[in-house]
Amino acid sequence: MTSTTIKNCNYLSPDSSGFVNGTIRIDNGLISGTGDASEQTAGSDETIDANGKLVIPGLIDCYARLREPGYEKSATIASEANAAAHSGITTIFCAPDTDPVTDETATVELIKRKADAAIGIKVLPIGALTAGLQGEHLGEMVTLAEAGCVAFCNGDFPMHNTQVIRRVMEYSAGFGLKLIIAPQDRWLSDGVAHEGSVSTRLGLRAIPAAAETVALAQLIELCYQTNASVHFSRLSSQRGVQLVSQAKRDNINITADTGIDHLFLTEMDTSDFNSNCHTSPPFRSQRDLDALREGIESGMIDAICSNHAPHDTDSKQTPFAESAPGISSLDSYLGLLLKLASDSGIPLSSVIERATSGPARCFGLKQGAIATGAPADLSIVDTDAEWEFQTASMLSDGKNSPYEGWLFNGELHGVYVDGNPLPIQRQ
Amino acid sequence: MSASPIKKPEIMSRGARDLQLTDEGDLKHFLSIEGLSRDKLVDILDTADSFGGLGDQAARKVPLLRGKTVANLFFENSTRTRTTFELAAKRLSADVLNINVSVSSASKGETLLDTLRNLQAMQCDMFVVRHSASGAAHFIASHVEQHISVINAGDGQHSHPTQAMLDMFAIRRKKGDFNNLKIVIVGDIIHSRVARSQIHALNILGAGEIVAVGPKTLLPDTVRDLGVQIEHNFDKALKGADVIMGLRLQKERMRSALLSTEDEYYRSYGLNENRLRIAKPDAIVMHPGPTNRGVEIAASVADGPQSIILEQVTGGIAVRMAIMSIAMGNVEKSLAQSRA
Repeated sequence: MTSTTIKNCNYLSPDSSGFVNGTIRIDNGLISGTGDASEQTAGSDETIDANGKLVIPGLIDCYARLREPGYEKSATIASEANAAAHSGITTIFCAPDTDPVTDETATVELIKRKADAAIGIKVLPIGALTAGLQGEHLGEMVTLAEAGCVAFCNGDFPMHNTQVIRRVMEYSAGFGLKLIIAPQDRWLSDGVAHEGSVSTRLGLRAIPAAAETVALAQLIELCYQTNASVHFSRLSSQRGVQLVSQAKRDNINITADTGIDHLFLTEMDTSDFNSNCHTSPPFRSQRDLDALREGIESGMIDAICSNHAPHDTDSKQTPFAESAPGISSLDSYLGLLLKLASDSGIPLSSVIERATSGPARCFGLKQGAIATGAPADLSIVDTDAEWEFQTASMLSDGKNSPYEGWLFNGELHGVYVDGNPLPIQRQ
Repeated sequence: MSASPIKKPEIMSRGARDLQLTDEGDLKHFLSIEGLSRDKLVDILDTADSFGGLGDQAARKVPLLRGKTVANLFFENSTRTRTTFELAAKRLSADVLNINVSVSSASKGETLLDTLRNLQAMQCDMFVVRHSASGAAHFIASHVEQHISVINAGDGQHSHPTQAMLDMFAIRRKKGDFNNLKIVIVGDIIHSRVARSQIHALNILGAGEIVAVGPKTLLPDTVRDLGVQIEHNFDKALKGADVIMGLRLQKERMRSALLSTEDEYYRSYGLNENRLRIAKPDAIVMHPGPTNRGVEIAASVADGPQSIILEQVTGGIAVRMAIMSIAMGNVEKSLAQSRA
């Protein structure tokens, strides 16, 4: 068994005190110690000098669509795992709305096999909440959890039958399983753009913020009744953040995330019919964006997911309303995280926590912190390196990104999963 | 945390404004009224005036588009608009291709881009496009070759700029200056590409007062951002009106419970003779057609002395001739300059 030390690094301390200069020791894939150099390097097989660069826990993306099996023309597990690793993501949750959907063990096994053959990050399948994602019959959640599903959701098909929602909550609560639900009222979300001045100007069918909040209010009440453990995913509105905060104050067993792109883009970015900014939920107003950022800073929003949605070119090369919603967001994920800290004034340590220990806590994962005993999933990042985002250089098979020409910071000088270095190509 | 503005690098956006202009700032495509200068709109109206006599003498042609091929690309059904575009193109001496795409390629799974590339390969010079998706004309204009001009004949609920220009043409002929006019637009504003374009045009031309009228389900508060006053009581809005513009109640667009019954709508927002008396005695009544008689307008008003609905249609040919000839001329000028 090997041991490695990374010396002379600024690592994110697990006790929320920010970045600490020191050395990290890795033994047998686990972090065995942090702190003073002389203690940690003794008897180590390999020593890496980080030259004062940042070392952060491997990022945990708790919602992404990898499209395989079934939609390989859009993306594959291998291509997307590679893109994720190059953004410092070492754990990625994959959505169940594939073909076949992840509602039986065989699909979970297939995903695992494909993931094992990929670059080496941890791919955790999200199981189907209802059979075939039809929203009618309970999925085999217990069996799927034993097979390796980290949580359960209904993909991009919002459930609308409140009786079924209540039953899946009760059922999962009894087995201690975690649900992921993107709150969207089925009828109010029949549109393509945020209801506001931009959708009015462009004549686009509009989705009011109430599409999110009406569903949230209903779901929170059912969480209260059933004591289910629910993770609300991809919040988009100011009122949504308020409702989640209130539920947390009421000690209801919920957590929440928002998509990384919703922390940067608003309805204004759709004002020239840019189909790459057609997303679900839609980009809302500046006020909503500010509230989401505040939620990230305060921790009321626990996590930042990629909400990755790779599409083939044809799906976006159509008029806005007819284009498929979603952004291929893995390639820009790390760049945007670092930019969030530099643009918003939210401490970098808080931003990184929302993409590491935050989601780890939501889903009970061991990784996500540079702490003794934790899996050695981490990245060495040069935060001074500048680069320009170019769609043509994206590693994801989906090239549907609105960030062409944006300037980002951050270059990876090493990504480790269970102590093993991944074959990262530096640009 | 304080709300900090988001810093973004300067990216050249392909927004409506740049997309429809040449590098020299001339009108190349006609996609949307929004963002155009007053001079450009007045130029269209003046040019249409110069063609004005032609409407009365149908045989007379001008050779401005001789040797050009205009493709009428209608992804959505339309009789009136397509016919006036066809007439306008023919009076400009162009060859006209009428392509009803909804029954041809689209149903065979051909993408919109495929259809465009094929038409481009047939050496068309101008696409007149109607499509049910908002932004379709912008999408097409951003994907065609440099020598092609795109004219928006209605895209989803976004824009119908030639209709708005022919409305402006009719108003100017009847009323002259826009400055002192009170204009009332009544009906299904939120679903109307015509209303959006009219509001932009009236604002750019300096109309004195623009009031949008309708029930809250068809006229939400966000419409105010377009630059109009909002009123839910039709009678109140009509006081002192110089121009009353009706809109077609787009029944097919009503996806959910937006109205109770046609009767109740007529009672609240139908333009009948009694209501018309609230407006100024010389007020004119307009409608883009086809009208739902007894739903949004009384037959006696639609056919009455204050109605200029048919004159709108006649003027539509001259206005579309003006827009097509201006755009095509600018494309040629721009190509010549880039060659030089």
